[in-house]
This record gives sequence, C-alpha cells and structure tokens, in this order.
Amino acid sequence: MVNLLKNKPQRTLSVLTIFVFVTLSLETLILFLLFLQGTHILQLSRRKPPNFVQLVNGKQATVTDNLARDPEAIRQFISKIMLSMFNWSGNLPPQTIDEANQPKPDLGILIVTTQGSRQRINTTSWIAGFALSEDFRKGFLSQIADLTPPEIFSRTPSQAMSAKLTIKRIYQPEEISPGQWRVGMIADITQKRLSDNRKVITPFNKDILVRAIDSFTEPLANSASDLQKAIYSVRNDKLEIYEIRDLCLLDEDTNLNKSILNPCLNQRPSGSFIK
Amino acid sequence: MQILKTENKRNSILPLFVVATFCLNSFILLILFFHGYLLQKLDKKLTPQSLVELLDGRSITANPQPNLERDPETIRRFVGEAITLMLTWSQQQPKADVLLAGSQLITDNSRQKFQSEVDHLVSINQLENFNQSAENILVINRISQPVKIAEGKWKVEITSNQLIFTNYDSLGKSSAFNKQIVVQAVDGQMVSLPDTPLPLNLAAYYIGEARLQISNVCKIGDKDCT
Repeated sequence: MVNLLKNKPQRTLSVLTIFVFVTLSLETLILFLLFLQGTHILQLSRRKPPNFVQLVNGKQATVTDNLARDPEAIRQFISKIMLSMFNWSGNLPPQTIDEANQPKPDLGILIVTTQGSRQRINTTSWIAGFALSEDFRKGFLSQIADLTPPEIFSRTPSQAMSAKLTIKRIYQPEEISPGQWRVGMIADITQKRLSDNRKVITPFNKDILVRAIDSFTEPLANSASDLQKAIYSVRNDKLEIYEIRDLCLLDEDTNLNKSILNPCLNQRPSGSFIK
Repeated sequence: MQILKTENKRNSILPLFVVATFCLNSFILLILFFHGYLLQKLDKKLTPQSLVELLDGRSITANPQPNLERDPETIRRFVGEAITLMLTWSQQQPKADVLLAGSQLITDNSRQKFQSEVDHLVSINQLENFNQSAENILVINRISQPVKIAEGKWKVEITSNQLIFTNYDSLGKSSAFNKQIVVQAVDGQMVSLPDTPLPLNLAAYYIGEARLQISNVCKIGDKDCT
C-alpha cells in the first residue's frame, strides 16, 4: 500500500507532465512563429513598390563611360561642323525639295567683328558656332565675321561670291586626356567669284581640340523656338570644339612648296584661328 | 490496487485532453510552417523580373530595385532636363510661367532658395528692363556623376551657361550657372497636371516621372550642401 501510494503520483507525473510540458513548449514555439510571421506580414504590407530597371541581355546595364566617344563619331562631328562653318554659299540650306531647286537667299546674321564694326556671317556658320565652347565661340565668330566677304550676300551676279571648304583628310582622333581629343584636319577653302569663275584656294590645315559634353533631350521639344532647336540640335552630338590651332605639316611633300601651302611658315589672314 | 484503478478511471479524461492538445498543437505548427513557406514565396513574387511592353511594340525585361534607388543616368538626366526647362525663357515660354510649371520639381523648402538663385542670375545680366524679344537659353556643358550623400539623396555638379540673345545681339551674352544640386527620391509623381495641360505642364510632368525632386542648390565647393 505504501508502495502503491508512492508509485502512483510518480507515474502520473511521468506520463502526463511530460506531455503537458511538451505541449507547453510547442505552444511557445507556435507563439514565437506567429510573432515572426506577423512581423513579416507587416513588413510586406509596409513595403514600398519597387522601381524597375531595364535589363540589357538579361543583365542590369552597367554605367557606361560618359566620356567615351566613338572615333568615327568625332570625325563625323568635325567634318559636319567645319563644313557648315566654312561653306558660304549665300543661300540657306534647303529644308524641302522645292527649296533644293530654288534655294532661299541667306540674309546673314550681324556679328560684331574684332574691330568693333558689324559684319554679316552665314546663318549656318552662326549655328555651327554653338558647337564651340562658350569661351571660344564669340571670338571665333568675330573672326569669321572679319573673314566673310560681304560679296557672299550680294544678289548681283557680277559681284556674288561663294566659298567652299574641301576636306581632304581628317586624322584619327588622338586622346589627350579622358574625354578630350586632338584631331588634325587637312582642307582647302576655295573662294569663287561667280561672274568669272575665278578661284582662290587657301589651305586650311588645323588641329582641332574636341571634348565630350553632356546633352539631354530638350523637355519642350514641341514648342521650342527656332533658336532653341538650332542650339540643341548642334549640342546633341555631345561634343564641342574648344580650340583650333594651326596644324604644322612636317611631311616632305609639303616642305617642297612650304612658302605657299604651309600656313605654319606663311601666316595668312585666314590661317590665324589661334585662340 | 483497487484505489489505483478507480483513480485512473476518474482521471482518464485528462490524459486524453493532453494528448489531443498535443496533436492539435503539432498540427498548428505544421500549418504555421506552411504559412511561412507561403510568405517566403510571396516575398519573391512581389519583386519579379517584369515584362514591360513599350508603345512601339517592343518589350523589355525590367529588374526590381528598392524604392529609393535611382540609376546615376536617371539622376543626371533629371537634373539636366529640369534645369534646362526652368532656365530657358523666351516669348513663348515666359520666365514666370516656366518657373511656376517647374516649381513642383523642387521641394517646398528649397523653392525660395532656387528663386533667389534665378533672381541672382537675372541680376548679373542686368535684365531688369527685361527685353520682350530677349531669349534666354540654358546650354549644359557637363553634369557630374551623382554622389550619394544619404539614402535616396544625391549630389551632382552642373556646369552650364545661360545664353541671352536679343534682336541686336546675335552673338549672345553668356552667364555661367555652375551649381551643386541635391536631389532626393520621392514616393510618387509630385507634378500634378491641370485639367487642360499646357506643353509646359506636360514637360514638367514627364521630367517628374523620375520621382525625384531638387532639394537644394548651392555654390560649387560648398562643403555643407545637403
């Protein structure tokens, strides 16, 4: 009897109590898990919507080098800007097919020259001027105004003149520092009097220093003024010219007629675009 | 022995309860595990690589990134376009209208400061007798790579010129606008469109789609510009 009394409470303890304790710990585990999931759900409900980034070839595109430019793009840019800067036809570039047959006369843009007088320059030269850096542009355009003969704008055939830049060669751009290049250009400026077709050819060999700039699409493209369109279309190439120097040709063939052709030795007025 | 049996019979309902509770608890635990797995799946589902269909019929895949992240190029473009919009004035785009339309691209706190920078820019050129035919155009030279200064906040340096043309001056005056600009990411589109939006409002709206706002404008070299 004594034995039984002793045994009985022990047995009930060992089976029932273990069960109860296991259940209790299970209960705590469940409570803990519920709490964990609750916070997880809270986080999910509070999470701000993600942004989405475009993938290229299944990968997030890495930041491209903002200063890198294709050498061919630099050469194209130089040729485009130089041609529109020095092609003085006295006509506006045609905008429609009709205008190509009957070009509109260019009235020119009045620019203050280096001497302080006001001279007209071609509209295309003026627009191309926006591809020059701001500290360089005004002085350069003033020099262009000095150089542009007023006969370009003359409507009388006996006086009218035109000038044309013929690019013979544009060298491969040579990188000076990141985002800056030096490009040599060999060209001639041919001035022609329309009455007797007399031509004057001036060599125009220049070292052109170009740098990368930033340009973004214009926010108000639809209601932009002509001036804005002109400026932004030129800046859109993301390059600007910040210096133009004389190119000294040291090749043998140019040394033969150095007094005539080499502007490094024979400074002509048209060869003095030194900043 | 007799006593034990009667006791057992009396208590027989208690062990049953205990066992039932134990089973129930184990079942609940299993369900919770299952819920945890579902939550994890949902977590992944909320940030999927998404299909984006473009207007021209092309489609691209887009990767999710946290709400306050912005690509450096997005920040640069935002700054470039916002400043170009607000500092380009002509007869068709009068200064007051442009600044009003663009004001939502600037946080409330720094609107005053931006206005004073604009006034300063105008005063440099002595345009008090603001010529009707004058045209001011902002030409950007460079916008630096953004530097992260806080979560969802970046600083860029802009070097640009405002060119001022009049009928008499086709060469143009230029005044430099070189500033540090702090931008911050915002939760939603801050630019609201009026019922009959003008091109100006639409332009500001498109720029605001980057969900960024200009929160400060300071001089270059200002160390405590945040």
